[in-house]
Amino acid sequence: MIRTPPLLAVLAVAGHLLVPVAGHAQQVPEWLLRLKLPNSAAKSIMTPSAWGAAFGSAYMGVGGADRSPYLPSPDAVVGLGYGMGDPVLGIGLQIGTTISDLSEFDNVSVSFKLHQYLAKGTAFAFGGESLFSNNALADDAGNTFYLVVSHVLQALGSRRQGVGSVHVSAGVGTGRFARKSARDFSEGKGRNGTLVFGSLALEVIRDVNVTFEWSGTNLYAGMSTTIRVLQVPISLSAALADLTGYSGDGVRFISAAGLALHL
Amino acid sequence: MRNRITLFIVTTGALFVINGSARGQEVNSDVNVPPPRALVSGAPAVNGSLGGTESVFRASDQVFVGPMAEAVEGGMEEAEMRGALGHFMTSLLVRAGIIVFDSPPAGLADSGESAEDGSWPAWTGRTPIALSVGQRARSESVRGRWPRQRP
Repeated sequence: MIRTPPLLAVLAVAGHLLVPVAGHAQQVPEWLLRLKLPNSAAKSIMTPSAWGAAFGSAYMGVGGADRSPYLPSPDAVVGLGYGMGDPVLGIGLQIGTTISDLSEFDNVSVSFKLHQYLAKGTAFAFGGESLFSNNALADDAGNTFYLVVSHVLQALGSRRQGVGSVHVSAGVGTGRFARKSARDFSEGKGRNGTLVFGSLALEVIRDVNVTFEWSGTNLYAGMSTTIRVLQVPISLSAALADLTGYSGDGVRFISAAGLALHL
Repeated sequence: MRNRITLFIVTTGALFVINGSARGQEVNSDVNVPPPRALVSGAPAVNGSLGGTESVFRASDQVFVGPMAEAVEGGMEEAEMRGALGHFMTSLLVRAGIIVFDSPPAGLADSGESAEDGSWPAWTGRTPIALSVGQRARSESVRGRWPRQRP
């Protein structure tokens, strides 16, 4: 006599163990576990990077300097903008405006940046800034357009999973990257900048970056971090500007703070 | 010159102190606000930090050990996943084909027609992709949720 029920039970158990079940959980792929993305602190001081606002986030910020080049007076600026699109699945678009004359409110310019994440911690962006300014007397190089590539070194700085410690950006641009101010020219420092710009940000402490940067007309060095106040992340930066005699009239202290909200 | 260096050291030292007690993991500081016309050669270099607080990446060790694994297993809805992983990481998973959502793409909605006759959901706009984790589960889900025959 064949004892059918126990045999069927054994076969059922064996079948369950051997045949994969539809919808079985996937594992996080190895490449994703090794991927390094930017940390939360600023990775540049004066130059653009290829990372930008997206996904419907609004931002605003303020900045100031202890003095302007060739002038003893301090200066300040306010900026705000909005990011839309998806730089991973498509294109991200960041648009913003900068108000540089806080008392008269008569020097407003517009900026934009189209940015896309490529792969392996690398992003690419094309942008424009200082556009449509209504102040014809502004002492700058006018409309500026640029291309920039940013990358998070994947092999270095692996102290935290998913977050890189070495961030680099390099780009080429017109306007402020290519020309010095009229005062620089009159001071005998030449008229042209280098066109190319770049930045190197090193995470020295968790989410605290030390940044060195060539702006096309001078060298900058600074530090930045991000804090949370009442669950609102606030970005803070402080830097020394014009470290070389290539432009300007000496070293200046600059600082900035900003926050963003997801709408 | 010495005063400025001292000011910088004090300021950055304060940043270190503050950062030790509070830290925004999801904050990204790459929303660059360009310097204004009048200040390009002038004042503040706000470019790298102004407004840079977009929650783009949200990459952290906490994400990888917790929400990431759960997301890959298919245990999250889209909104929940975007909240836990951030938009950037969620889109990265979608682009890699690791996850596919079963909800209509943002901005799309059920067609009125489908609601009237009670048939399978048809999103207006782009053809929806069906969803779950894995090819086997995906095909099962397609068959199970959205029969191709209307009544």
